[in-house]
Amino acid sequence: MARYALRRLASIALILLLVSAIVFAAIHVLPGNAATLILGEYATPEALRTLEREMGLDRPLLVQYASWVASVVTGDWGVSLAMKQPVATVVGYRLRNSAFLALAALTVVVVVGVPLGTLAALRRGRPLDLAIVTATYVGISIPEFVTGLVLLLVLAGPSVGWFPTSGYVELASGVTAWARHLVLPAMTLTIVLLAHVVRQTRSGLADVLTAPYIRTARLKGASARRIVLRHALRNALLPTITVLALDLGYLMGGIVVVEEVFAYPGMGRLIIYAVQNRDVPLLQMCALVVASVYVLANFAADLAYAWLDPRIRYS
Amino acid sequence: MTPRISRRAFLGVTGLITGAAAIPGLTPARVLAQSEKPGGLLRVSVTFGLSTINPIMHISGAEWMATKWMYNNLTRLNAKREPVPDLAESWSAGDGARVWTFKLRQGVRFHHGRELAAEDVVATFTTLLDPKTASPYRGEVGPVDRVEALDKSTVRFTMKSPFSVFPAIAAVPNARVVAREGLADMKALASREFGTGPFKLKEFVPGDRVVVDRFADYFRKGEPYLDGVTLRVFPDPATELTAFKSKEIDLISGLTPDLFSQVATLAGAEGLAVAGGTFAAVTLPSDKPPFNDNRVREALKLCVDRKLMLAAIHNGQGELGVDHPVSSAYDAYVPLAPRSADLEKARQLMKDAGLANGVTVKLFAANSPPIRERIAVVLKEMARPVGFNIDVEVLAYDRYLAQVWNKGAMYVVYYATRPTADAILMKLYHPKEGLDEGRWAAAHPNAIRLLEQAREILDPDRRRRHYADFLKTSRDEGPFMLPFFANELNGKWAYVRNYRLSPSSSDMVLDDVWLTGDAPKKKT
Repeated sequence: MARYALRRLASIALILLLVSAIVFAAIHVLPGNAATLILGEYATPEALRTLEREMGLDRPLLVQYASWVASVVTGDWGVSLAMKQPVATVVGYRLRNSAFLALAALTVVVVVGVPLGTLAALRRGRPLDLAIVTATYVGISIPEFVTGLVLLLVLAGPSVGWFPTSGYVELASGVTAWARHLVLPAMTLTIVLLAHVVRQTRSGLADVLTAPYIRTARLKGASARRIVLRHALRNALLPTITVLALDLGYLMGGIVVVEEVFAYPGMGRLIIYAVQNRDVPLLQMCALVVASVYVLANFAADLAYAWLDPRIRYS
Repeated sequence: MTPRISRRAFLGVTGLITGAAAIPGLTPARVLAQSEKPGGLLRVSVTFGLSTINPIMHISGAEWMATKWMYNNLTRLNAKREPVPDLAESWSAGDGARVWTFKLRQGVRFHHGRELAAEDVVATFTTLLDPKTASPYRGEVGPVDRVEALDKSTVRFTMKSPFSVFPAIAAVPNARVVAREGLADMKALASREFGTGPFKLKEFVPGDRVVVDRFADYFRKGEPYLDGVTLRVFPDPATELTAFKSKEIDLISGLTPDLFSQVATLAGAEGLAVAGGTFAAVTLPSDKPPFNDNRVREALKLCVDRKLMLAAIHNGQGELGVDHPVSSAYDAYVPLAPRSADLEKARQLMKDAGLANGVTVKLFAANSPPIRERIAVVLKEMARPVGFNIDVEVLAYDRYLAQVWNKGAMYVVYYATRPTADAILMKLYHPKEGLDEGRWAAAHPNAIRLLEQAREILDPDRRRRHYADFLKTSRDEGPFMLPFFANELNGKWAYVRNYRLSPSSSDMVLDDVWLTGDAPKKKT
């Protein structure tokens, strides 16, 4: 097990290096650099050259990449070209905000999604099942900016006004205010993500419920409640963990639209900003952080598999 | 009130639904029944751009707004766009507008406690003009050669050539006066401030918000009235409007015409409009066919029904243009006969130019701001009947900057209101002081000389007459099709008092703005 974990960690390091190289290459395929965007339509050739020299953009690409890798390995994330602030500060703040939002959304998805999926599996083919499956499908089919805007107009408009429209406040300025700002974006994401978990739970559970060991349990007289909670769900939920791990990666870096609608300062908007401003050091670190979340969440899901299912052994 | 002001005020009223009190020059704000009340927090929204608060380097309107609250310039511009004292209490010209001497106000304090001295002004301009700083607007500050402190409160600027509009130029966002200890670390200046302004920095989250607090030691005694200001970025206009309706936002800057009409219909809200100098125009590269022939340039200009274009693109919120960049918002404005569409004459000109069978041209438009793309598309349709086959390519702003802009192609330029006519004219036409974006200067040296001569003229009336010749040439032969100037549009709740929308909307002065008792108490 320990050797397996070490091997996985080594391959994760390799994946991250590859991701950084690909992102670095991709941003340089795009025309222009940070200097052209800082100077905008007032750039003179002289000013462009000065800024490029100052930011080290006039060096060969391989040298730029190597020096970036060298400083990241020593723990120096560099300085954002457009904001002139330490990348670690900027990314740290956005990462924390994204983590709060992701955890809020994932918690609701699990708390609502698993029972709904279970209910649908137990009532398979009946109207309740149909209602649950249809409703979650509608949720995933409507684009997230529509869902977000509808929630915003209804619940944050002047007539109801239960929640603030947008933005983020620090935890230090009060838990209530902080939580109120999370409600609408988290609700939007829940509606979008619910279908994954409900469908996965439903089909997993439906499969398991026809397995021989469930019939055995039923024959030995176990209550329906005990069968579902103790015997069936534990096995049925394994694939759901993988779905949640993938969702976590998406929530940490891919929710640009929801972050824009609710003016939420998270990782998604930061990545777009970095691309638009050709802010290479900032983009590189964003990509690394998001990729890390993806691979580590999957790694954690695999470890959880082994823990939940004694038949699975990694070696 | 002079006739000029009435006309300007009239332009401001066009399209204005309510809130006449906010129009510059129309109602003296201090005559209002209620008197200024201290306290309260003003929340302002913008839709993009908040990367840095370094005044020497910032380029976006949102950033200019924020530094206006934390810093002062030597001068500021009044509603008539004339320079009035800010940190300087007086100034004088010498040696035919080659030498400018500014006398500084006494007893002005920086937020970190020290008193303002002439050395701070010298350090600011020296940094701004240093090529190593690579400030984007270095060229706009003019031909400054030397900056010296004559004593503790006197600064002398020596120009390489006469520069009569320097006092107005001293009001540009990039010439905010920074304490010299702040200039020592330009990186830190991106997120800290060393200013003398009415508000001091409390919090800055790049791309998201700026929060400032009242500065108790501000040199305009008793001001500011507000306890603080929050500036927030709303990437989505629908969210911005909802936040405004729910009174999470008190003042929306930079409204689109669509949002403007929605704001103006809300009970208790006011839409503010003022004639500005912001425009989008099409470059007609005059160094190569087909636009090296003025008949072809003229034919394209004659295709455009400007009134219809303004109505279609900016809801009629603006002032019609005649193919030069000086709107009525500028001191140098000269009314010229308006242009109307004349397709017959345009066809004849095309025939004379040997293009009776039409011509195909490629027009590039960046996707931001949206007005660029709209102008390109409407022009394509309007010019088709005359034989212009315009192939419009819309591209992302970053690609546009790197591949199209200032490369001699036909594209849509976009400029916000500049402090003086000199600034925008030099930028667009002059090959050395600016970029000659229409590639026109080489064939029109006499016109370019007019621009240079205007810098020697100190008397505003004489300067205006002098510019008139250039503007006529630009209209009749110039390398730009400039259909209209877009009004500056803001929205605010009525409880925000004394706010005057500037023709350059990022020039947001909040020193004497105050909130009435019915402003919402709860602040989120």
